[in-house]
Amino acid sequence: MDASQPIDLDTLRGWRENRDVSLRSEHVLPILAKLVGDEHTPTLALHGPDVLIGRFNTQHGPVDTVPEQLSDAQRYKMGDPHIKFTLVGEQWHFRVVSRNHKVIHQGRAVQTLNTINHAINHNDTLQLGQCRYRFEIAPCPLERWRRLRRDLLTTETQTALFLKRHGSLCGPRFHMEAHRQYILGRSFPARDIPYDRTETPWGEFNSPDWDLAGLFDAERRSVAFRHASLGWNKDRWEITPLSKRQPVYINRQRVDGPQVLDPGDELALGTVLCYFHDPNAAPREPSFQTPDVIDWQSEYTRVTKEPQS
Amino acid sequence: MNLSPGQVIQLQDRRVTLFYVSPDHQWALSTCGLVLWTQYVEAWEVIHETLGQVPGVPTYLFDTRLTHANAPFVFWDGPRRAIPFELLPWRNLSQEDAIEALQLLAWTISAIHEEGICLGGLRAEELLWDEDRKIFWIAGFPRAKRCDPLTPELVWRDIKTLAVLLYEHETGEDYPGPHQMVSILKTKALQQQHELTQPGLTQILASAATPHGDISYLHAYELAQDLDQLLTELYRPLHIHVGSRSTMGNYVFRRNNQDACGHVLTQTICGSRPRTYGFFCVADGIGGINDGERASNVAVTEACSAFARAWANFAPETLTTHTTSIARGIAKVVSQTLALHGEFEHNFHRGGTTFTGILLADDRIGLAHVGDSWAALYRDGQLHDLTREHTLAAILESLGEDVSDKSHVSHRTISRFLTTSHELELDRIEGFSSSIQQALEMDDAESLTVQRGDLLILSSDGLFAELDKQAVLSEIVRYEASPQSLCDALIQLALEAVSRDNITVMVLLIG
Repeated sequence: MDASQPIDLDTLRGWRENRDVSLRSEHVLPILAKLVGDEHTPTLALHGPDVLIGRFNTQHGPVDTVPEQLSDAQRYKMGDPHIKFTLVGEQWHFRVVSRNHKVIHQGRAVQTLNTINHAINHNDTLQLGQCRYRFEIAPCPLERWRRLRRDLLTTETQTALFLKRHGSLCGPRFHMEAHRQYILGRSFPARDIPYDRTETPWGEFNSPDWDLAGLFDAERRSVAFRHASLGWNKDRWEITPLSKRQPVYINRQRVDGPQVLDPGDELALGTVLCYFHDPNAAPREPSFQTPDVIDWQSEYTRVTKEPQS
Repeated sequence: MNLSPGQVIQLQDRRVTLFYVSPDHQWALSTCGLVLWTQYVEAWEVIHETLGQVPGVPTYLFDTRLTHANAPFVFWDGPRRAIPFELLPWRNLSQEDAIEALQLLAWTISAIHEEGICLGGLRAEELLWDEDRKIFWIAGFPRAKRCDPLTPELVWRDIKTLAVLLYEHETGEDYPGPHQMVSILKTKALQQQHELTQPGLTQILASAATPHGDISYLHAYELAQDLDQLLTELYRPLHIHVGSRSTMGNYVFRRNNQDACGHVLTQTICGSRPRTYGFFCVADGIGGINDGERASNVAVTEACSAFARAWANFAPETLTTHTTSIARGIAKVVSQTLALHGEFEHNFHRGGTTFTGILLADDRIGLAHVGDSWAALYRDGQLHDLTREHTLAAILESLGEDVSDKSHVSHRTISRFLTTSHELELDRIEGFSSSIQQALEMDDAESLTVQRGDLLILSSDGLFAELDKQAVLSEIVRYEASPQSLCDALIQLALEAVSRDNITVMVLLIG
């Protein structure tokens, strides 16, 4: 075995995950802008005109981009969420959506009021907590991006959930047929939990209808094994959360019971976002409300080992 | 520059006719016994230049102290620190180094034979010892010739020296000559007198160090294979002695023990090759009283099960070369198992645990670490941390804040842990950090080589809640020969203090 090859985790876990490699395929829509990181910070690509960036906190709702491969200090100083970027016409703006996590634009600290849009230009410097970036506007005009997105949707003739990544549809999709019921989630072993140790379950697993085990590690962590069911009810699609741990959101609002999906709705399983496409309805991109500034201590530091008595 | 047999090249003031060029241009033999080595075909272009004056091309001219004048030779990009055999303290080399070097030499001779060339009898004086790589270079082929067919006697002449060197290394005596060798090998008493008790050794001597005959090797690779077997049988595996103990601590502060530890140790001998593999881990539960205990227990049992699957399904070489990757993979699988429990068991959804595990594969260890438990290596009187704390205090410290007050909540706030609420990303499960690699002068991030006498210590953070490093070190020095006594002593010492937290200690002695 080549030293550079990753270890086969299926061998270690004793059951196989049904990992769909197409879920990791390259983004089909062009980049509109980039946050080019310094030597300590990975670069972030913005593939859409509305991109919310930060860590995912179940109480604050999903984000479009979770910065990955950050150091502990960078993560600690990253808000959940931290900042929202918007492209209007040819001008990019950002809004700070975290009270406790700093943003420094062109060397100046930005007030953390989420009602203010700040214009940001090509090559501007931007610091989000401990992450230092340079904002780079890609040559793709918004009109072209919109055309490509429209083309992508109009060529899809079936009802489908399109996976979204970094602010836009990224290519992979899940087709749905009327009158059927689907489970969304990811592979889990075909045995009782807790395990019956007398079994030898090698190779046996349950795979939901849309198995998201193939997502990137940082994405799939927010997807439950049986996350939600998608059913046909009174000629409409209805989503029902199944997991008590990982929430479901529609248009960034958490749903706790069965909820109808309308064409163009944005569904989120944890922070994995999907666009609900109905070929009989006109494509649309929902606009979502930027979360209010929340002054809660982040989940990241909440677990504290206190004495029991 | 294309090279071909019969080609004449000018080297300094010497005209040289090549009579053999290896297919990959790695080396060529010349009429006057000149051997040209190169790893780069381009280097041939500059052979016409004055040797040693070519910038950027490392050049080694053979050591002039070598007096064997019949074998003029040149190394091109050859060994940098090579010494003539005469200067090599051959009998003082370790058994492993000596036999491995002879084995490689036997394979090399076999490859030369496959080209239809024999050496005409290799001599020790024609060898150079590469101190960096611990291999022999055949520095000259003064009697090399084409031989078709290659007869068994020609093979014997070329490899006889290897058997002689083996004899001298293993017995520490001068080679007595082929006929005396026969006498020694015929008599058990004489064999014992000369310390020739290993059957593999006498087999090689009989097949190559005695006069050519019916039992001589027909091919050089047979010698290489027998040397491999000899090496396997002489290999002394490391012995692992394990001690462990866990305590709830002071009952005023604690009502249960949320710590857990466990290990799996396998020792096999297959094909004469002893192999030792093991996994050792400590987990410190977080969360409600019951959930924390469940989480650490699930983590330890699942980790040991995952290691067993790795041991049963991965090739031994994979375990040895991917020690940290597999250890981190085990932690990842544990994380997924906890997430499964969290989702499918409604009564168990608030727990989490730290996890620190060491995977041992022969003499190498790999590491997986999440949380504030601790792993350390005690070697030559010094205690080396293998892990760093994943706490808020550590983050604040990296941001330049003062966290010297150990009672501050940031020291108890864990920044990474395994939890029932979701899986931890693989890249957040730490192996050997770059600072630890540097401190221990590790060759790579994948494994640390352990030595006889090393102690590996795993503990939950409860140990350092009560004791400082100096106190721990004192106990290690006192009980370093007995892992269980060391565990007992450390726990006892902590219990004699306030002992607010659960404490777990596991110690491995590499013997």
